Amino acid sequence: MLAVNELSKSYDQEAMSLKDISMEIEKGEITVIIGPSGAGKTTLLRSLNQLIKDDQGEILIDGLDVRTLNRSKMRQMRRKIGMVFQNYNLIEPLTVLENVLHGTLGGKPTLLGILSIYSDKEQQEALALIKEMGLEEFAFKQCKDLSGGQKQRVGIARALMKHPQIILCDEPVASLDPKSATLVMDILRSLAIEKKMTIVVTLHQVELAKEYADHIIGLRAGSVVFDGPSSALDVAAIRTIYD
Amino acid sequence: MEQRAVIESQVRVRAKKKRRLNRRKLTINSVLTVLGILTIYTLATIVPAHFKVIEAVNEFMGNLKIMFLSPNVGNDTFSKLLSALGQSIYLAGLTTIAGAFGGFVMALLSANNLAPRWLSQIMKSLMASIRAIPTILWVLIYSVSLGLGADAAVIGLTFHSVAYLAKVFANSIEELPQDTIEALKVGGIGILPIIAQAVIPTVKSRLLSWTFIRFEINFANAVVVGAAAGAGGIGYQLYMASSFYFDFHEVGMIIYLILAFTFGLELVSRRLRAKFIEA
Amino acid sequence: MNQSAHQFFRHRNYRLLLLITEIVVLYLAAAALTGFNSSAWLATDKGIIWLAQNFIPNANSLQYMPDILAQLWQTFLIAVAAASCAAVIAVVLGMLGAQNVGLSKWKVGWLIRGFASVMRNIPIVAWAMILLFSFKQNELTGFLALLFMNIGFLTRAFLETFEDFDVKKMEAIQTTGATYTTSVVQAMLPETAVPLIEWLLYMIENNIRDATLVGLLTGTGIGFIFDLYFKSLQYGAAGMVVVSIAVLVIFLEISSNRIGRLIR
Repeated sequence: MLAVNELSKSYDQEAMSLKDISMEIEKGEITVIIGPSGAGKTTLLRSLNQLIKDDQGEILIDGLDVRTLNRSKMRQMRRKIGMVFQNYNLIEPLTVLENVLHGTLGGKPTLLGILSIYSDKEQQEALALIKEMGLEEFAFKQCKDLSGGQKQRVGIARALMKHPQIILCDEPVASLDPKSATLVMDILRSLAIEKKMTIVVTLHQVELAKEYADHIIGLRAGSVVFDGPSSALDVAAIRTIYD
Repeated sequence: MEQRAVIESQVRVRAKKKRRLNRRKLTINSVLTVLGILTIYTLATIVPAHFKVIEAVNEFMGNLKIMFLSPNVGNDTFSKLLSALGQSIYLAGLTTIAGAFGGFVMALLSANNLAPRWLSQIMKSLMASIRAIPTILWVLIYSVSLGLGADAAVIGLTFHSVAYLAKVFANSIEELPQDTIEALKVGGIGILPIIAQAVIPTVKSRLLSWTFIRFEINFANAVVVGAAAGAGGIGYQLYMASSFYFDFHEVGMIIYLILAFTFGLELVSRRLRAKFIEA
Repeated sequence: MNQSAHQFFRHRNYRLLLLITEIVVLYLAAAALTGFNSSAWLATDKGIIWLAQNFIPNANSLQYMPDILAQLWQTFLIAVAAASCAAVIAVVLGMLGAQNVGLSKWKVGWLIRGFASVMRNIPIVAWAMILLFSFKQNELTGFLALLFMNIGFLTRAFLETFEDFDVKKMEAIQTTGATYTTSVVQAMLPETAVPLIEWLLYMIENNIRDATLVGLLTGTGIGFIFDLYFKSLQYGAAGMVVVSIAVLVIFLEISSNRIGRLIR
């Protein structure tokens, strides 16, 4: 589904850069990227949809190198990828429904986008997703009145609106309390199992990673130091990543 | 070993903070000294030779007394003064609406999280240059090509409003996190839908309160323009009463009218400010 | 539930349409009442083109430069002096009036607020005209007009700055046995110095613009020579005045930004 070959990215400072990263990510699996802060987790994740342009290497999605795509192909490719953020990036004064419908704006003609004209089908689908996320009573509430966990679920619903095959989650639970974090991770797991989506998550909690990941990638100072199933992540492996 | 490194870094941080505090103190002191010297020099030289200050002050106090204690409508009628006040209010309203539109467009072009860097820089400098030229001069400049009157007054006042609102609107827009905009851009959303769907809903209430504040400023400007560029309204009445008829009773009445209106505005704007800008 | 989504969007579109209609109606009404002809917007470019053609300073207008610079310097001095004197008065009034400081035994807060409001809201035109009558055509008139307006503006600004100050910070100094007044001066003034100076610098910058206007009305300073050149159709020289005012204001804006960055 998604393959990275010898990807490198350098910054002026050592932190956050990537060195010769190679990995394979399978469809229908949750892949968790762990590592100390500054190890390059976010850089790697953002390279996958070219939010960060990398210096060299290859990123193959369905066999297509995303680094060589032109603008319109890039847009098509990005439509296949949903993204979920640590700080949700919702438009707080708008309602949950409107924020979820923002997920459809990417494929819309500009004028319809400006006037926020959504088809019946889109509205139905948005409401169904909101229900699925357990937020139906909040559909017409402003996002600023929601709790962090609820906001993150709105963020996931927005990402799902464009029917992505891949969902990239950048520290999705870092700002949440443990209970909300579990809820959000449960949702991600069900997306992988039931909808066969490819899910890539950066996390800094090793326990959560072990519990939810099918596949764990450990980064340290920009290099992959662990790559395997979560059952293989033992104390020694954790040491190599964090110490 | 590690302990030592920690202590050393703490020492460095403290030294840096101290340097900053010293620099701050030095700057504040030198600014105040320079301003103090300039002020003393000015005060020492400003009173013309043989000028009878006491007499002037007495006369001034006498006039203030006439104005504030015995106001009347003088040569005009009360309804005429009221309609002149209305004229100034309409002028302020018109230029505020036009200024808010122009200002919003200019703000989009100068906000550094929406516009490219070069464009934002150019627009910000352009707006700063327009702001630097006093409103009254803009009105006079336009009065040459449009003639003295409402047209020149409206365009001149709008010019300054656009430049002012462009700056404060852009500041509000720039508070919208870059991440949020980026998140939408990644979804393949064009810049116009982002403005309509993300920027406007987020900054709407702030823009409204800034627009209201500009309305207060524009009212003051409308009075000024009426007096100094003959554009009518309460400012023109004020000018006539004070420099043509020398009727301080009427000046007093006009000032009371203006104060009544501005106090009302101030009450509203204090509420808006508390609600939107400082929150 | 889908029904309510329809309702939601319909209601939102309705409100948006209403808002747009209201604004358009307001605009048209105001335009009609002021006698403004909306086609004048099309002439916006004419003004600028005209400005560029006539106001571009040329060799001929450069000969006026010494006069202009002398007046500009005078205007700058008056702007500084008016703002600085007003600042001194405003610091005292602000401290007396700030409720959290509670320096004065009587409740003078509302009185000071009211006074500041009156001083600020009396149009500077009115100050200029009234003063002109008693103080005649000289720079003192302009200085006083700016001073009165500045006192109103800065008193309110300072008073609000003081009220934002956390009075608990004064306790440390009070424990040394200092009197209350001393501790206010020792603790609050240094802590609030940065915003106070920023307000003062803004006031100076604004005074340059207002001084132009006052000069125009009272026949003094930079406003007067602009009027002189402008009315005698010496547009090149008038253009020089405009440019030099703009340069001075921008210079002040940049310097106050610099100073702001140094002291923050």
